[in-house]
Amino acid sequence: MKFKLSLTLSLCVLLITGCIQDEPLSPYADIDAFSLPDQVALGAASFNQTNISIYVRKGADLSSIVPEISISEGATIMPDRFSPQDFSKEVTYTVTAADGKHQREYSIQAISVSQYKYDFEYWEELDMYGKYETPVEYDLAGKRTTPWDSSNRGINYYVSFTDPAQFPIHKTTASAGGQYAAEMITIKGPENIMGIMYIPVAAGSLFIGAMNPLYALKDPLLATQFGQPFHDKPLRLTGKYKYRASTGNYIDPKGNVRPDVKDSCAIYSVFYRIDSASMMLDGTNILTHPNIVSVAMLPPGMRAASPGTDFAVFDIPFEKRSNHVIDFEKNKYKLMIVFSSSFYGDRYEGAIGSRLVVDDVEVVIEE
Amino acid sequence: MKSFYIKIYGALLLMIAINGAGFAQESFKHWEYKAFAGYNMGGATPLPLPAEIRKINSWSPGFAAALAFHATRWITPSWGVTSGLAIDLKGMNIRADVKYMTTNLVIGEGDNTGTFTGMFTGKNRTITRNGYLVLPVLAAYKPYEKWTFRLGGYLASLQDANFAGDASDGYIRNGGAAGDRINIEKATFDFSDEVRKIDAGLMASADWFFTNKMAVTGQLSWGLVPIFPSDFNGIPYKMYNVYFMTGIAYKL
Repeated sequence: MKFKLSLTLSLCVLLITGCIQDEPLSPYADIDAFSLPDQVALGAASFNQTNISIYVRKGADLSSIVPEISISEGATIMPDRFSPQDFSKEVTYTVTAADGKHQREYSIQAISVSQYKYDFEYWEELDMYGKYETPVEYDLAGKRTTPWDSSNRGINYYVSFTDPAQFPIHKTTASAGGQYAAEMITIKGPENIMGIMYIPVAAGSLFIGAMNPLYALKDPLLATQFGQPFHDKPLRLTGKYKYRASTGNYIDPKGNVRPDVKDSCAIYSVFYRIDSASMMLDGTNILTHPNIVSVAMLPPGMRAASPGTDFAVFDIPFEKRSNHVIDFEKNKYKLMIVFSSSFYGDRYEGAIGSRLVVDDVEVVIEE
Repeated sequence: MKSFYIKIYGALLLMIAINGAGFAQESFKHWEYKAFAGYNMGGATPLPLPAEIRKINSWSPGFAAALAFHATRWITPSWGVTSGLAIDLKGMNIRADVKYMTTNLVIGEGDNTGTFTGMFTGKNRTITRNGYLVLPVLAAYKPYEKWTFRLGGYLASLQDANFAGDASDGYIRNGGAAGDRINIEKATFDFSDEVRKIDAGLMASADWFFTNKMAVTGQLSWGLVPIFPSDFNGIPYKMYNVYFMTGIAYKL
């Protein structure tokens, strides 16, 4: 009887398996890797959704360069990936998936000048599946760059907000200068995500770098990849901010209320030496990695609330964290900046409603 | 809803009785009652299998028992009408490799509810165990003393639902094919609350009496109503209850 049953079962499986259809054509239209020849490139390309930034040597002739591009299996790319392009301007590639239905449009920015000032005047929807906005910048050469990423990207995975202002990071016209400033608000999290994670609180965090979505659900701290190439010695991080911690309950990562804890904001910048062009510090080591050269951190007294009722100025010196002697001939470096409406927002704790506004940020360098 | 079914059932039995009364009385037994117990094998399955399913790694019926009572009114010695009630547990455990499978998972509760939409490639395990109260209406045909065949339909009311599982060893593209690629080691889903409250379909069965009282029964029930409502988008294709029950029947 046992034998008969198992025979029947295998027959059923065989029957069902017999009906397996041909494999569908791939719907993926990705640029998996992008690089420029070593004569012009200063490092590895960094991906921020469909924006690819690559630092190039100052004065390099970019007018006719053949990049190295790899794309999804079976996909096609326009213009041809083996034809030379003028990377002194923004170059756009359109990748079409093997199924012919899905397309992605990539922008390549070859950047030759470092950026020191961030005024949050330009915001764009960088994600084709999300209504949130991310600040973009125009560098001294007038080139559009995408140094910023934010916690909006992860939050967009599970919310269906239709207005950019609903997301924890958005532009506000209540600015210190110019038209816009960056506003960050800590919001309620989704709690249980498919049995993988528990997120009671989602802070608004804006940072230089890009989220690596591969780890977004497994280890969110690993997913936040901080920094971009920086070729000067940073001296001070300056800017204007307005912060009010929520008077509501402080919630810990397990979702428990902690009456003994008050929320505070995070404003800091980390300058670190890289061992390889692709090296990035992430949420697990951004304040502890031995390669950290110096850190500018908003002092504790200024984190709980900004002084006064309007924008307050912060002017924080970079403090040495190691005996490393900065040498741009021998080493390469990266710099990251982060703003968050809850200091421990990366661990999914904070108070819902804490609000941080930041504007006119500058990294003051040694001339 | 339940009283509605009971009314229908009563009306049917009445119809059977009235029809039967119209025929000349012959020397055969008009009413036959049968109880049977069986085991359901099958699955909630898309038909045909969609291209997203690349490989079935394993399938097992789990505990899927059926208990039923049938009443047959024989109108002629070889033709009759059968109805009754059955408690059917329909379930399966299935492991499959899937590719480019679109899914929408509801996350969070209350004001906080969000949807995780994406295209998953990896391994899927689904465990279903749905309990139904089943009302069959069948034409019965007895060509030989030992054999009875029935063909008709059924209406079923969902009493208890379980449709859950996990996605593992793969990745999801958030939003769709062009979205962020997120690795998934193991994510759970539970669509139990979404399972449609009714099921209906075709039913065919055969009884072979190996003694005067006892028969071996085989019964195919083929759902024609997708097990999830049309506005459900957790699974990109329609699934139907297709089960074959084998059991032992006892003539009362």
